[in-house]
This record gives sequence, structure tokens and C-alpha cells, in this order.
Amino acid sequence: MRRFVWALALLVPTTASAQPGETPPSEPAPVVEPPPAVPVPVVTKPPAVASSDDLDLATLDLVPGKVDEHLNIYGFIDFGWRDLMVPDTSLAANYFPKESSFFVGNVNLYVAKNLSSHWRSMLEVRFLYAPAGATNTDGTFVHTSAPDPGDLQRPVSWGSIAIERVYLEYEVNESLTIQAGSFLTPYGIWNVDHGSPAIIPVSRPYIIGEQLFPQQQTGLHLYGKHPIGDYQLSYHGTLSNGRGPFQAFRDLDDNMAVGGRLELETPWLDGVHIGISGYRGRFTDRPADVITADASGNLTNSTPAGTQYDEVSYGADLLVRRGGLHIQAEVIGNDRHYLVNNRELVTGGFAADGRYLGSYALVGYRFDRWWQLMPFAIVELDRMRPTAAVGDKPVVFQPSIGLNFRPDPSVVLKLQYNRATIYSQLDLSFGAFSAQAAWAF
Amino acid sequence: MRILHAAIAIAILCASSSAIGDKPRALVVIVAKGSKVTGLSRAELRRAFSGDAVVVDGDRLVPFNYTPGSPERVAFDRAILGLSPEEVGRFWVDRKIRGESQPPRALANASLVIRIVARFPGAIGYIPADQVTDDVVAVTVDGVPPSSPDYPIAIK
Repeated sequence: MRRFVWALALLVPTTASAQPGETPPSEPAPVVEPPPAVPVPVVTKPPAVASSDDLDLATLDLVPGKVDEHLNIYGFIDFGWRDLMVPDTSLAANYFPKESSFFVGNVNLYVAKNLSSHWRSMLEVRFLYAPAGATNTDGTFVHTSAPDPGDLQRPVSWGSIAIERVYLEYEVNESLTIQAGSFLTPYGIWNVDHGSPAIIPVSRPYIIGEQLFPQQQTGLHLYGKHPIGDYQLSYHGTLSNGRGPFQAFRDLDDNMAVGGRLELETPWLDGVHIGISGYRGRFTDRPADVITADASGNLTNSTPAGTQYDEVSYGADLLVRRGGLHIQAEVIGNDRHYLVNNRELVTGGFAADGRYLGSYALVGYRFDRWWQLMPFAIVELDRMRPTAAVGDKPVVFQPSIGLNFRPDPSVVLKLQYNRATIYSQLDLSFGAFSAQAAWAF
Repeated sequence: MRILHAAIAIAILCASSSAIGDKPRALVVIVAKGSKVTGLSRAELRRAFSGDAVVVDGDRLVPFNYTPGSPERVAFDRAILGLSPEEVGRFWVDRKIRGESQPPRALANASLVIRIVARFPGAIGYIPADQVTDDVVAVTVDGVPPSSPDYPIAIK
């Protein structure tokens, strides 16, 4: 019996407060009731620390009215492998590589700085291998190389830089901020997330890649947030050059594009976001102006006709996060109407006016183990604009499944399989398996 | 039989000590003494500590956090942001990639939080309830006073 009792005593978990050698109380301790959530009242006592007067905030880089003015340099990179399972008999082989490849995808660098308490500068650039690998008109590949003066003139490959966004921002007050420069179009969920560590699948939905809204715009972007109780309304308004071949630095028409977005963040289900977006603009691409002289020698500048259309884009999006559950969906549309004598010449004839509609839904569940595993599935359904090449109403159906691991907040590993079926007069269907490592730094 | 009683007493004592060790410690949201802010809603705290600008009674809140992984930070993030430490890490990385604001400044301990909140205009922080000093004032959250057992933030 004694052995049993001592064994029982030894099996009871001990804590730091029950030190060996302490004398047990002579009376059994009272049973402790489950503690209330917050049983400890606020205790005001003399400062346990030195007086606050001895603290020099400046040594902590904390000066009232002054913001963090350090130059912040950060970014993200992704590297992957893709096997596009394109049969030789499929016309998709003309558009996509048949070989499986490793590839460096995005190498994006951000440089941001608070210029003062109200002014902020932001630059995001993407480093590219392009134009290497582009196809020349004769079907050969573009090879970029130049003699390397640092290595006995041996050939060195060079690439290029794309300016993703660059703007100056002025915060008028907590409800309104004005951006001037080149910015990502505020629409939906994907285009703002855009960075590979922040997005769940390897590749973006086809409809996002089709840019029914322009990916970037150059001009003014006003935005802000306004709390309404437990809800929060976000709003965006844009005035820009609109879509165009050189939209970042030249608008080839005098027609400004306008756009906007409203997003309501609700407390439902731990957080539901509902958004709507719109855009209206004119696309213009044309040859350069020409100067002609009349019989009297008077010079006249004239603008030749090119491609020109008016477009309206619209979209709605939904984001639900509840615990590990993540649901996001977008529906996007674009109506295009060419101006008379400015219709684009495409394969098979002139481009038609028409509507392009697309949608996708993504569902995933993030576990709190196994490297924060998130299995996900995406279903995408698009109805493309009619073209002479692919028929009257081509439809794209693209289901995908995949796994997203987040072993560290800054590191994301992804696997994905998707199958694209394009219902048209041509066989453009294919499957793809892809893997990606993306990281933020 | 005495030995049996003694063993049971030890067992109960140890069990109760363990329970006391696991007892939640209240965390209270603090502002400087003399601040116009006397109460905040959870929604305001969530917005302030997730990078949005929040103005209360004309003062813009300047939130101060604890370092990631500290018990105070973990408890506060769970109670107010509804996020686990891993989710918080992802939240700020994703936000940075979108080009949005950076996280609030993180401080090492309660004494530093108290000293900075007491002196920095608009500053808010949170500390264990039993460490509140005369330099700062604990505020209500959703109208619940810090002395209430229903106060929504605690280290569990």
C-alpha cells in the first residue's frame, strides 16, 4: 500500500511552485475552481521601473511627429519547375513550351521610404531575362549577349527591368491618401496581392493573366478607408492614361481613363470581404505622327489611324477567411468596342467587338502543422471574346488542385496540377504540373 | 493511513499548483495618463494593430507591440487579430508584398511599453494587468472595464 501511495504521489505532475523538500500542508488543499477568464483586477502600484523621465525616446528613434525615415529595401523571388503536357497534335504547342523546365520567375525589388509623416515614396521593379527567349518573326529565338569587358570579352547574357510600380504618396488624413505615379490597378484580390509568396497557387488564373482590367495604370490614385462600427469601407478612385502600349509615359490619345473600387470588410465569419471594381478607358496604338507640306510649303502634323477601342471593365470579388478556411472568388468582365476605321487586324481577320467574361473560385484550408500545409482547389470558367481564330464563343474550363506549404512566414513551397480545356473550333487543351519555391526578403 | 492522507494532500497540492500556474493573466490596453482615450473597441484595436490609421477623440493612435513569440504578443494577436503566431507572420509578409504599411514597433518588455506609452503622443500598448503603473491608464475594450473578468485579453 505504501509503495502504491508513493507511486501515486510521484506520478502527480509537479510545478516550479512545488519544490522538493517543501513541507506539505497538514490539511488537504481546497479544490481550485476553474479560473475565470480574467481573474486578476488591475493593480495600480508604484512604478516598478525607473521613472519615465529617464527615457530618451530619441535614442529609440522615437520622436513625436517623426516617422521611420529609413530606406526600406525588400522584395520577393520565385523559382520553379513546370511541365506543360502539351501534345504535339495540339495547337497549344505553338503557344506554350513543350519541354519541362526549371525557371526563375519573379525577381522583384521594393525600395520604399517615408519622406515625412505625410509623404511616402515607393518603387517596385522586376528583373527579367527578357528579351532573351522571345521569338523573332522568322521563328528563331532572341539571344541576348554582349562582350563582357570584365571577362576577356567573353559573351555575357543580359536582361531587362520592368517597372512594376513607382509613385509618390501623400496622406491627406487617415481617410484619404493620394498616389501619383504608376500603380497597380486596384481591382479584385489577385492584382493587389500579385507577389508570389502572397498568392496561394503557382500560377494566376487565366482570366487574371488576360488583364481584363489593366494590370498597371499611370496617373492619380486616391484611396482610403472609413470604419463603420465593426465594418470598414475601403474606396479607390483612379484617373490615368489608361491602357496603352506606352501607358507609363505616353498616352496616345487625349482620353483619360477612370476607375474605382469599393470594398466592404465585415466581421461576419471572422472576416468576409466583398468588393466591386470598375474601369472605363480608351486604348490607342498607332504609328507615329507624320509631317506633310502643302503646295505653299506649310507644314501639317497629322496622326495616322491605328488600333483604337473603348472598353469598360467590371468585376466583383469575395474573400472569406475563417480559421484555416480560405475562400476567394472573382468575376470579371470586359466590353470592347472598336472605333470606326480603327479595328485591329488579328489572325483570321479583323478583331470583333465583344464581351470577355471570366471567373474563378479558390478554396483552401491551412493546417497549423505539416509546414502550415494548405491543400487548395481552383475552378475557373471563362468565356472569351469571339475571334476568327478560335471561333464564336470559346470557353475555357480550368480546374486545378495543389498544395501550399509555408514552413516559414517568408518561404512558400507550392505544387499544382491544372488542366486547361478550351472549347473552341481548335484543339488548344493541355495539362500542366508545376512546382515553385517563393520567398520574401 | 497517515501516509495515505499525506500522499493525497501532496497530490492535490501539486495539482492545484499546476492549475494556478496555468491561470490566465489579464492583459490590459494602456494609454498615457491624461489621455482623452478612455475606451477602445476591438475593431479599433484590430485596425490599429494591423496597420491601419485609427483616430480616436482626435488623436491618432500609435500602437506598440511586443516582440513576436512573446506570451503577451501571442495572447494579444489571438484575442484581437484572431491570428496564431504563424498566421501573424504570414499576415505581415503578405502585407509587405502588397506594398502596405509595416507592423507596429515591437518592444521587448512591459516596462519599456509603459515608459514609451507614458511619453509618446497617441501611443497605445498592452501589458499584464498587475504591472500597470501611475504613468499609464488601462482603458475599456468594447466598454468592458479592465477590472472585469470579461475583459477580452489574457495570457492563457
